[in-house]
Amino acid sequence: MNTTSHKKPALSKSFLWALFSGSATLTAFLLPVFIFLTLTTPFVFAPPFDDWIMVVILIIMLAAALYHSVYRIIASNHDLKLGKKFFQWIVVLGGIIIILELGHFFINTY
Amino acid sequence: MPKNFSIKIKRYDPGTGKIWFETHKVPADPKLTILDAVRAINEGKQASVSHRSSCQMGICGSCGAIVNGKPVLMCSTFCKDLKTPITIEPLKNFPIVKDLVVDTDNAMDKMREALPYTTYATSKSKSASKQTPRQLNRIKETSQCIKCMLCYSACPIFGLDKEFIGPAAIATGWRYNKDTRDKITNKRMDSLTSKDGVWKCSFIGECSNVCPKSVDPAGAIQKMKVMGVLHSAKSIVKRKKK
Amino acid sequence: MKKIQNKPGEKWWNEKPSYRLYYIREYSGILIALWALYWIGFSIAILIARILIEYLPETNTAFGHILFLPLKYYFLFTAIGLAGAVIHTITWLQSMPNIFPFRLSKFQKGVAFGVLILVWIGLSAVIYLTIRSQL
Repeated sequence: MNTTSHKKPALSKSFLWALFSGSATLTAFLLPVFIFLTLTTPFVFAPPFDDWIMVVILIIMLAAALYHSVYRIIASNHDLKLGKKFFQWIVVLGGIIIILELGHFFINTY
Repeated sequence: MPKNFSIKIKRYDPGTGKIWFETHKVPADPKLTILDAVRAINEGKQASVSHRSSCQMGICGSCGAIVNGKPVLMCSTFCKDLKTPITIEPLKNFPIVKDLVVDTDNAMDKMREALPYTTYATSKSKSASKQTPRQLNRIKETSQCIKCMLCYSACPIFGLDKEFIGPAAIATGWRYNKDTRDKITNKRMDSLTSKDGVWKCSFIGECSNVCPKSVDPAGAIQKMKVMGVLHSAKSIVKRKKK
Repeated sequence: MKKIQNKPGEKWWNEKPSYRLYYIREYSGILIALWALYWIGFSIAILIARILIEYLPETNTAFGHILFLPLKYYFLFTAIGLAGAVIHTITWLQSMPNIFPFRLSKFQKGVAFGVLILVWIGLSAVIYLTIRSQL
């Protein structure tokens, strides 16, 4: 038992958590309406990439959504060894989609 | 209410390394607590179930155990409120010494890392340590902690990573940080915001669910994270000034 | 004296409702990450397609088929993202009253959560109606 050693604050962890907290709050309030807009407005046919404000908003929302979700997945992994399982699932699902699409393409073309 | 309560106790013999479950029947009584039942089993059946207890009224925090899967104080839990057979096991996440007795030294060391004291007594002030009712109210909730270790037993992160400082230590650190007499907040924050400190908490919240004194350690940890960010920012500014 | 370790079991996450709810909350992040990755792929595909149409109008139809592949799954991934985002919003706003710098009772935390939900719905409605009116 050591009660005299002075521990140093983990500055990087506090910065990462602050970023996580900020991005999670931003996505909590704005992401659902943002996704709903992409579903119900003509964005699907003509994504507004010519409007630089929309591009900046899209980049911010994607960055915030991706950062906070990756932080959550890593922080909640604990002992579950989920990284390997996720990787396997993604490979299997990706393989199924590729096979289906290749089949669809060849049936249509030839 | 049935005529008897069926009690199933997890036993461990450190001499032989054997683990087994024993079932006993105890005459039913509406006032019978789990602690009373264990004592009745020891007295009536000479079962010699090792367990800790002291005050028998939910103040000392000695008699923590897992009863029907939930960490509780045995002296404050009534048999009549539980589904039978009542299963009693030692607290999780701590090494078992014998039967219901566990080794809580690791968690106690973590409590010390939170610097759970004020430095008022060592200061040169001769006046009485006065606090307004409002100042006392700020620390009232977290002052109720009786170090029963039920929150450590409920925290899966402490169970998987013994380096994590734990809920009670952080809640105690919050209590002393909010104490108006305290002068060592910065040193305490250095300890609580280290790599094994508040950042390892994922806010599962089970610690607050099991706390018998409604300390709400989960809430205290989240507030400490915000304090930790501000403390880290101040540390960076201080370093740059030097 | 030999002490035995008493670690959480392999399936500890399934032992209590609060642990299961914790993982539902955390893994809403997976749904959001899938949506974000899809949109990154979708945006890159659209940009490449525009460049090809602009500068190489004779581009092979197979290549064009591959580039417009993300469009087929647009609604699927958007629905996945929306589900994840709503779960994240509700669980995050439920946790927010815990970081307020003042002590709240359980009832007060419930009221604060209700107020935050109303703020979220109000803000979303204002943003949605403003953007729809400008389109």
